[in-house]
Amino acid sequence: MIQLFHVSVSYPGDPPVLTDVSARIDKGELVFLTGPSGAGKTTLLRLVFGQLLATAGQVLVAGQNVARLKRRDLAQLRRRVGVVFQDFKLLPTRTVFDNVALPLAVLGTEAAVVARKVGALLRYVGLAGKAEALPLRLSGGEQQRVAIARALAGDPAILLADEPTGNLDQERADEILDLLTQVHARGTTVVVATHDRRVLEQFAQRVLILDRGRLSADGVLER
Amino acid sequence: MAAFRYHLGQAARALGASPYGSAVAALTMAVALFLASVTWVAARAVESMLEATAAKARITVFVRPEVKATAALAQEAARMAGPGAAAVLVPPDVALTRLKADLGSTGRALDDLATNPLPSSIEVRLSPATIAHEGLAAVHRAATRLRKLPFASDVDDGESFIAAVEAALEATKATGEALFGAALLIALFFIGAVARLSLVARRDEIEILRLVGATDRFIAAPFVLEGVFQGLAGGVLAAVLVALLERFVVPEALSLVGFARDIAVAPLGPGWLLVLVAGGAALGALASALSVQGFMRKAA
Repeated sequence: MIQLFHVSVSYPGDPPVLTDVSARIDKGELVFLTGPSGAGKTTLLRLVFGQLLATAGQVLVAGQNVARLKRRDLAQLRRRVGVVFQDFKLLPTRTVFDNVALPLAVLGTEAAVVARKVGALLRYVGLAGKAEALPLRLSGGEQQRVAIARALAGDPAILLADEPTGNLDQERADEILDLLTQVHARGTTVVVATHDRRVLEQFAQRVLILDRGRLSADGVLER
Repeated sequence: MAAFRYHLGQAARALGASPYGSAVAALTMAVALFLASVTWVAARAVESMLEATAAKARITVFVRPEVKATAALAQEAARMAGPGAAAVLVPPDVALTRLKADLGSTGRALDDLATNPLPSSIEVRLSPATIAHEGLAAVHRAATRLRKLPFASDVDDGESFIAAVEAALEATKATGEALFGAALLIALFFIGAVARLSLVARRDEIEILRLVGATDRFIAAPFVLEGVFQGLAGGVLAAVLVALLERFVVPEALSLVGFARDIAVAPLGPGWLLVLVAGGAALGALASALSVQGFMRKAA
C-alpha cells in the first residue's frame, strides 16, 4: 500500500531530515512510527500524502509515485488518504458537523448522504451531541476525535495519524487508540506516528523506529 | 449539484463576511458599466443628430443686397442644385421671424432692432431620393454649384455645424472609451482585491481543503462565484441607472439644445440591460478567477 525506496529529505544548509529510508507497509496493516522529536516522523507522513516531496528516492502510495502525480491526481490520491494532524487542523469558525463534512463536500456527496454519514461518524467517535458546537468549545480529546471523524469521512484506504495522543491524558489517549484500532479492524491501513512508548508497549504491532532521520529498526515490540 | 450548492453557500458566507468590500467592488463595476452605457447613449444621440441633419438638410443662398429677390431666382437656384431639388424664396422679415423662434426666449432681444439686418435668401432642399442615396456629400456638392450663381453673396450648407457634430461624436466616443477603460480597470482591481482578501483570510481553510483532496477548481469555485455575485450586483445597478438616464435625463438634455428638440434617440432596450447584467457577472468572474489563479500559483 505504501512503499518508500531510499527516501531522503533535506533542506540546503540543514542536516538531512530523512536519510535513505526504505520501508513497505501492506494493505490493512497497523503500523506505529516512532522516534524522538525531530526524528522525521511527521516528515515521513507528509511524504505519504504528498504535502512534501522527497529530495531523493521514491514514495509509492497505492502503486502511484507521489512525486510524479499532477495536482489533480494528487488531489484524487488525498481523497483516499485520511490524515489526523497533530494540531488537528480544524476550521475554528465552522461547526463540528461542517468540519467532518468537508471531505464529503470535496467528493460532491449529496446533502442527505452527508447528514447521514456525518451523524454516524459523530456517533462512532462519541460526539453525537456536539454536531453544532464550534471546535474551540471542545476539549483537546474531543477535537482529536473530530479530526479522526473528518479523516474517516471519505472512507479512506489509508489513515495517517500524527501524534494522535500527544496532548491528551491517559484516559482520553486510550479512547483515541481504541478508535484507531477499530478503524484498522475495518480493513483500513493505519499508520500512527507517536513518541509515546506506553502506546507502543500497549499494542504488540509493527513499529518503525526513526532516529535522526534514519530508519533504525523495523519490527514488533514485545508487550 | 451538491458541489455547486456547497460553493454557493461558501460564496454567500464570504459575501456576508465582508459586505463593505463586496459593496465597493459592486459599485465600481456599476460605475464602469454605467459609463460604457452613457458613452453609448451619447454617441447614439449625436448620431441621431447627424441623421436628422442629413434628412432636413437645406442650403441657404443669400442674395446680394443690390439684387431684387424674385421667385425666378429661386427657380434658377433649384435647377442649379440638381434634379428634384426645390427652392423657396425667404424674404428678410420671414427670416427674422424664424430666427426669433429658433432663439426661443432670448429671441425677444431682436424686437428692439431698428432695421432688419437679414438679407433675402433662397432655401434649397435636395430631393429626398438624392439625400437617401448620397447623404450629406450631395448637399456639399450642390452648395459648391450654387456658389457660382451670380446673385449669391454667400451659401451656407451647414458644413461647419456638421463638422462640429462629427467632432463631438468622435470626442464623445473617445472620452467614453477612456472613461470606461479606466473605470473597468478599477472595477476589475477592486473585485480582484476583494477576492485576494478573501483568499488570504481563508488560507487555512484552503490548506485544509487541499489536504482533504480538493482540486484547484473546487477551491477556486466559491471565490469565482463571489466575483459573479459582485459583478451581477454591479450590472443590475448599472442597468437601473441607465434605464433612469434614458427615461429622465436624455430627453431633458436634448430639450436644452434648441436644434435637437425634435430628435428622438431610440432607447437601448432590454437587450442592452441584459448585456449589462451578464457583462457585469462575466467581468466579476474574470477578475476573481485571475486573482485566485495568481494566489494558487504562489501558494503552490
